[in-house]
Amino acid sequence: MPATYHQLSKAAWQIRQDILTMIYRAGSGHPGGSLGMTDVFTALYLGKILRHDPKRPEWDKRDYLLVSNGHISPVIYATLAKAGYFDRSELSTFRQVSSRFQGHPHYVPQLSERVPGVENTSGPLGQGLSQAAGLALALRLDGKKNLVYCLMSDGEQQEGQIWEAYQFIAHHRLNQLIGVIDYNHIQISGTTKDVLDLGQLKAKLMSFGLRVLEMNAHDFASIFETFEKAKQPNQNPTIILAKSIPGKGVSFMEGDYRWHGKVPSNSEYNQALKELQIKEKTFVD
Amino acid sequence: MSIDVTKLQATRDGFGQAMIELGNENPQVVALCADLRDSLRLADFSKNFPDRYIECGVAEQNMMSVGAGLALGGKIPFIASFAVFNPGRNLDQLRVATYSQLNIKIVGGYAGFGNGGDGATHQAFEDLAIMSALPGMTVLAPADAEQAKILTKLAAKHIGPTYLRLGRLDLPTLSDITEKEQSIKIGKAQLLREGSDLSIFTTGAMAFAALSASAKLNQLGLSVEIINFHTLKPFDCQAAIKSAQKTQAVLVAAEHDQRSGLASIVSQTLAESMGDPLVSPIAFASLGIDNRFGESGKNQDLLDKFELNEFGIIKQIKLLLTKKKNLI
Repeated sequence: MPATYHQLSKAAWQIRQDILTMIYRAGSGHPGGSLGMTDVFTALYLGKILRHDPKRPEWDKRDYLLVSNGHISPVIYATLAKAGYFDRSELSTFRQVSSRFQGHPHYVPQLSERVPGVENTSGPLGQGLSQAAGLALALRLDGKKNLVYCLMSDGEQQEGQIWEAYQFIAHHRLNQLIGVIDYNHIQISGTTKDVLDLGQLKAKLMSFGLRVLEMNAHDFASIFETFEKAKQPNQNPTIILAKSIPGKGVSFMEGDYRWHGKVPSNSEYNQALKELQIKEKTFVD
Repeated sequence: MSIDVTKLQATRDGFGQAMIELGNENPQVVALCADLRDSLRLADFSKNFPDRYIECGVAEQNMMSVGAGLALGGKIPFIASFAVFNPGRNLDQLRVATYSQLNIKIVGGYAGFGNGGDGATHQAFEDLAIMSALPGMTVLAPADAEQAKILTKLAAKHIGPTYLRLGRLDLPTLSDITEKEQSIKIGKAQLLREGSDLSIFTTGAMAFAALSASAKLNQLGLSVEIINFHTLKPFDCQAAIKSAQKTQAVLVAAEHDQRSGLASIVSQTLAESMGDPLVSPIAFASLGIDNRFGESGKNQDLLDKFELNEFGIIKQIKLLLTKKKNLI
């Protein structure tokens, strides 16, 4: 692994510790997808796949990242803090009364209640891709080249609106848009296969006229290579299937749907933290 | 007073005309529609501004969130479809956009019996209630085409989520009937007739039924006050309270569920004004759709069947005046 990947990996293990601490302290939250998407968020923000500047969250040349599956707010907040958008100490207010760090991220008119770096309100599943499509359209109308990323879960592919959005972005050829699906095969009450089978997801997406790329969501080389490809001009919008392990990094959480939205007990929290600290020190990936 | 029937227009027509003007005046204005371009009078807009007309197909949920995204990008999107679907089908998407107080304009077409022949599934009597319940939403229901045109343009200037309720029935313009030009402002009630015996509060096209009923009631020696509330939110509480205190009898008339929308806003406003030693009790009645769905029929035939007309208003007023007598 090149040195930068080592640094990113170390940062990702630290971010995972913050994620668990936020959820443990709040007494609620979603560890599974948050831990699973940590490497991707680390690469996007700290690895600068995204064109962005934490000192200028409203920079008009920035790429936009809209989140559709807002329940992975812990990884969003922890990564933005690590990137320097705000002080990390504020993460302790996650899900508490009067905090701007809502359970699901919000974008509100009052500047003091906004989280710098959060571009949209999300939570109700299936809406983010349509929002991203609208933003990409607005940018195109203005002749701007900024890219719009949209992060989705695989569970939310069960929502009908998402498929309305795929039709829309393909029809309008919104190629400034890059969708990323956290392809972890779990949702709150089971595997996606058991709850409502997504079937041949890749083939379905391709049949909608989209360019589909796949990556290993825990291999920085794969992540960078895939996003690099996604940024290359293409007639059609791109969707990336990010093959991830939910609960990545915590032995008893990995791959287990029950950790989609469960809070660790005190002993589970301590054990999880210990595992992550060891990984941080030894750069195990 | 003579009405030129060749000039009859629906509120949707005024909306379409305003959109052309807005298209020329403001490059940020865009229109989205779900395969109802002609019905919503957006055909001319789409011809004049092809890049800024965004056809969404029969996919109202996506359309609402695409509108939200356009607003995030600085555009002023007018998101249009039938009121039963917009906000009926995409309320969750609208709710999320409203939470962000995005600068979106939701256009609910063919509201009330506008989709007469299509039947109950296509007739919205709950949209004003839904929209009024959303925090920070501005709710507009123009009475005629001219008002629709003015309010569409004001909506584009107003920053924040705004609902525009449109109908399909061709009508004269209020100023032809009242012979009284009045400046239209968001949040400001419109006094159509001054009177002292009773007040009729209307929204949308019911203003016309109230005006024709008042002519009959005048002949019976009754002095009728008519106020048109083209804005339900923010509501002009002072205008409602002032008129109610003057006449001590209020009839609300709206092509909407009669226990929500304008009726509930007025009754709450008046109930909250009680208790002040200077405030007297008032008689209250509401004319609208009573806890049921619509049905197929011609627009005017349905209005007649459900007594959302001059006759219905006069019938309600008889009851109202009995109540008023009993107050004293």
